[in-house]
Amino acid sequence: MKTLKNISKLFLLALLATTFTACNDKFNNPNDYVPEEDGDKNIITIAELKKSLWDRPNFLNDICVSTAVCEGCEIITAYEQIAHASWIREDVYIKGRVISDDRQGNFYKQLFIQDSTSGIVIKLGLNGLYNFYDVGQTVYVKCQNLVLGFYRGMYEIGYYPDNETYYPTSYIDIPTLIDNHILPGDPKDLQPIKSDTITIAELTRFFTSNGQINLNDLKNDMRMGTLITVKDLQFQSTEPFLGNMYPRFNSATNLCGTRNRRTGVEIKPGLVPSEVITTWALTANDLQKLGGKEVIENRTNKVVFLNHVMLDITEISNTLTEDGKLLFIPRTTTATVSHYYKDGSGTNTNTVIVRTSGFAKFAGLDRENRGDFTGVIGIYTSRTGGFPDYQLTLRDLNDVK
Amino acid sequence: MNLKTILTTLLIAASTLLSAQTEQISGRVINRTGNSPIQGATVRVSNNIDQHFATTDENGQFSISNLYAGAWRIVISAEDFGNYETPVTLQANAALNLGTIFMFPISTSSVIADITSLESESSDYVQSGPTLLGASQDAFTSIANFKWRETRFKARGYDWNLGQTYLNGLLMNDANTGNAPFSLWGGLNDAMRNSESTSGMQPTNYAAGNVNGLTNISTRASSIRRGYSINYASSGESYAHRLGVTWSGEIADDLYLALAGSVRYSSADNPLNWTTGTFYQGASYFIGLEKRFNFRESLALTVLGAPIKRGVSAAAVQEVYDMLDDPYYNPNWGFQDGKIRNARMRNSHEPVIMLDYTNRISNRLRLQTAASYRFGKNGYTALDWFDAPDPRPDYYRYLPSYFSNNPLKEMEVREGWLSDPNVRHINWDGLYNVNYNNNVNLSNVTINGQQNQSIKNERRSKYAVQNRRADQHDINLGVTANSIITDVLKINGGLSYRWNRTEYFNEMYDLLGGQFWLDVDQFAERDFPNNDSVIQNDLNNPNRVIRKGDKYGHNYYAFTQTGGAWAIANVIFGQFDGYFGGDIGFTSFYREGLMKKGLFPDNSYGKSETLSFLSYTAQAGGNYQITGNHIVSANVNYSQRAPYFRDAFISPRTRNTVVEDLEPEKIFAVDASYTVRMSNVKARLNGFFTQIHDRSKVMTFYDDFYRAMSNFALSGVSQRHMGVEFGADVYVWNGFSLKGAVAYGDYIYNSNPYLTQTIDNSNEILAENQRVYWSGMYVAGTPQLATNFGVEYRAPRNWWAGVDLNYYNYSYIDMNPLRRTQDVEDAAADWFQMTYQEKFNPGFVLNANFGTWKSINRKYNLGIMLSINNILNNQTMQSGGFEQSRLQRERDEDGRFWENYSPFPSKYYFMNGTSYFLNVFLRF
Repeated sequence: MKTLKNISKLFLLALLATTFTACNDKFNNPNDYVPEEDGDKNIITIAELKKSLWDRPNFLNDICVSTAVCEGCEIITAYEQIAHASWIREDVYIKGRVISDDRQGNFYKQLFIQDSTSGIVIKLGLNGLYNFYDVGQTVYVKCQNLVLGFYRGMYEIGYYPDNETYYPTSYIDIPTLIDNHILPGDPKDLQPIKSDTITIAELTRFFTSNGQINLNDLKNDMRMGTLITVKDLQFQSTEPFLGNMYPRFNSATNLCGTRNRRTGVEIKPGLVPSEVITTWALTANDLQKLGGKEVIENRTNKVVFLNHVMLDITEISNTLTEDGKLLFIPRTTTATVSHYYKDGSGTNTNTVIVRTSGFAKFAGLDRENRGDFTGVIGIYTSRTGGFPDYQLTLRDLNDVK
Repeated sequence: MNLKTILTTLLIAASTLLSAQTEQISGRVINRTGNSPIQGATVRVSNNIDQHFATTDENGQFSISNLYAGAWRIVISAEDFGNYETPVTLQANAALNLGTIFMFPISTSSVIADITSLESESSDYVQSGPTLLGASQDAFTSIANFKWRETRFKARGYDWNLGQTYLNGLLMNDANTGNAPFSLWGGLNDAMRNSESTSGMQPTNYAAGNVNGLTNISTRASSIRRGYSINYASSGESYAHRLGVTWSGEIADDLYLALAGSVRYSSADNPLNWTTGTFYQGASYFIGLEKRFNFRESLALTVLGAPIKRGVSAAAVQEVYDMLDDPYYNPNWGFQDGKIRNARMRNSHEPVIMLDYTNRISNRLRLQTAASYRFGKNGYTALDWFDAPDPRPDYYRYLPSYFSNNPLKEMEVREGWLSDPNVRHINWDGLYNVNYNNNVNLSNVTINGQQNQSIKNERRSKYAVQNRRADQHDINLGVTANSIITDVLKINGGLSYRWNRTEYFNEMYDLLGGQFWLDVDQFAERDFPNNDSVIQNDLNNPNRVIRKGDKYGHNYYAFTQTGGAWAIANVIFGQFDGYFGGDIGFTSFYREGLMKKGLFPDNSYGKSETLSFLSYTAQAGGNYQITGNHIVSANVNYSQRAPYFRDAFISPRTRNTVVEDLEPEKIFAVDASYTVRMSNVKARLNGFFTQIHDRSKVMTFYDDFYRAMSNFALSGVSQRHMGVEFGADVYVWNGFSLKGAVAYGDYIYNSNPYLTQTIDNSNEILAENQRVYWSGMYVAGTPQLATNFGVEYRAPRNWWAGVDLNYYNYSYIDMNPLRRTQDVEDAAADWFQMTYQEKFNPGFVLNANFGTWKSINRKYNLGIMLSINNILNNQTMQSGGFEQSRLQRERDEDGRFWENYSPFPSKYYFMNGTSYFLNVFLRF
């Protein structure tokens, strides 16, 4: 019958139609990436790479970097004596296993790799590095056309520095750079490096009598950037200085402070008493809770932090007080905190800092006051190499036993 | 007397009664150019109660009987001709012969196009253009609907939701957004052709009044053109191919069937498509069944649906367009398996079932009762990621400008963009590989409703594709009464009720090589890392393991009910034809959360408060016929409308919190027009003025300052739209006509509304009732000046060609209200840059079209039409764009943050370059 014919024709069309919408949607899963291998790469040790820096020309001498002193442009050698940066132009590689882990947020844009000789940080400008480079995974770094730098006692691999900053390298944060230079090995072959157990005494053996370090020792200590364990550490004190807030509003050595453009109020660095900080670091919420508390401090420095301009700019101008009130901390600001730990047995009075970022997921938890600490060891000196502090950075709380 | 005699007597008696309906109308329809008869034209004779159809024969003749005395309206429509309309009055027992009726060909009548939606990336709001439903005899309306569509022209500057679309007397605009529902029946053009449209404020038979036109489509099988209608279309813009077939006929006594189906297809790498990555896979179906029980009652069933999947494009910043020298760059896709894969796909299948019962109680009263049910799935996919780098290729931190502080890097980035497709587009391989290597062990997770389960060595996806679903159940009931009280008074009225439940949720669409996704809030996890309850999206299923197809992220119902009564009376006083009408109704809605959000445990699960609003309309107006060819008309409307669900809740994905002090929207509108209708000249001039008060709007975006999803609730928005519209169609000589239109308007905001900002990871109000100083700035979304002028030639042998030129100007960018608040203005690094509203580039667009049709064997009608648009390949005009909701703080020389605010760069869409549209039809 004609109607049946019609109906069946249209049914056919409908069938065609529905198959159309279902098909063409199949994409095959991509292949796994081929892991990098030694091949015929010219692989040198990390120690060798580090030491080679001092034979290279320091291009920081030729570029103008700004200073934290608001005097405009200053050639760095005038005061930044030990900062050094050079292009690596030879086709060499280093190869190491990953020892840092930013899953818990304590290693921001830093990838530490360690081989049998030493460890070094690669300034990789990605959030969530753990998604790409797992702890114990082999990573090759093609050093050619990257920058090797030295800053306040630590070596680093990065890229050419940004205009007008005082860091010797910038982050490697461009996909083409990352893809061409940071080459991961087999993600299934994870062999986490066993940490080297060391005592405080051994760690700090380069200290001179007045707590300084020889420049040569500083440059040659290949233990920096590796994974260590220090047994039986005991909490001593906390650095109260909140100039380590990120984003920074000021710093201790900032002699001219900052001035709020609208209100003209000058903002100076401030302090929070150490009794307040019982956690590993200060999270954004912790800092918000501190707002309004009086700072019990008889120093002359006061602190006012500006909140998001939408809410409080009028309030700030009206309620600025001279009595040291902590006010209006920007909502996303956190504070990195350095806790000083000493040897639990008391045989050595030197300390090591356990430094934790306010963005770490465990930052808000109470710190351990005693235990065996594992982490990546580093050192931090003044610009001229003085006042060294050893700093241990934890990957996560499993590093504390 | 035997039975036979009784019956015969009754029959004679009956036929005498019925013979009261021997009035008839007849005529002959001729093509004005070439004076040839038009065969197959549809003649519709209707009054408020009845409608009758006829088709002209090979001599152009038609005749319709079984009418009765009274006032009737005749509309004659034919493919490629402008409609012919006239009112007539039939005397008792007389036959009316209209004689020769001339029809004028127009070139756009057979062109019906669907428009690909282009939407702003930061919101789910979709603007979709209407399909052109049949020819309109009015030069202005046909030019506005078809020629100006390329710039997303909106008549009188209104949002789509001020225009109403009805199906068989039931309002089909989306219950949650008010948007036009054309995507429900895309591709079914021939089945949806029986429509009555008004534009602007003209009165209608289906509502008391409206401000931006009303279209009612009747899908009764008997009113669909009998026979086969096959249509093929191809376009360089939306889809490469569309094929549709429609058939209608009487399959048994008084039983009519209409069937239609279509497929539409366009592949993502179609070289004729300006924007790569947009693809189209759609189909649609239509079944209409109508039974006439007697001459009084009929019942019609309509089932239609349009399953569709299409990949969309997104606006990008000018920096990217300039860098790639391509204003059609689309950041939504990347290569996978050698093919183009688009992360943002609209996918939906929302069938409508409708039952429509008409009872023609007498020749003075008709009652139509209709019920419809719309259901199905509607989704929009997007990339999702958890604690991993942003996968979108044009994220601002992946652009060269982000590295302006480091020229070497800036150069590297630019080179990467120009040489590496994995930089320029989504790197699907990279996303999969991250998932491949993310083997985890977890405890304390919920699997299939069981808590405290564990996961051992399974791949947790850090990247996935989600499908943002909004699935509706929409029940619509309506009763419409049409009555003719006297020859000069007719009254229409009705009751309506609508119930809608829409379920909003995220569906896990593709795990991209992983085995599961963990349902926690990543921003809350970042801010409250040690609080296992605050980070949950659903406390009733903590740490829920999500597999493909599962619901996650958010899940809530939006319940909406509307109901009302309306009436409109039309009166004729000699040359004056006036009306007044009104409606009154209520709208109420509430949210019901199906997940207990960890951040808002007391305010997310379960029902919210119910919001109710009163709505009403009063409208009056009329036409005055100065002579038969000159008509003036005017309309005035005042109405109050409820806000929509999505503008009433500050963050419906997370909580039940309602916008404070929500007001219904008020509209005052007035317009006047002068129409000339002579045989050679048809022209219309309109002037209009509309004032809207108390509009509300909610917008959601990711705020970099707070590093959380943030919401703006805007209230007290007022808009003033005024302007003139002019259209003319002049037949000059020997087949040549001139046609043109101008729409010149001034659409501005004329209040300084209030802005309240909240974020999704805390209950705090960040900014409360900040004034937005934008009074005097322009409403975005359309050029405020649009002009068209063209020449057409109609050859006597059924072909035509035309050339026309469009000029557009005064189109403005969609503003970010935050930029005009006091605090941001005060803290801006450059006040002018922060507050000024960008005007888009004006431009000319030249088009040409050609068409022909012929009759084969007097049975088959074959037509073909080709139009080439934007012959001059103008690629400099923005067809849309918006200011980003984010702001940035400027770094000072020391690399510290100041509170110097500056805007992020705006994002734009550009109008396509040269493209074509081909349409072929065959009817028999």
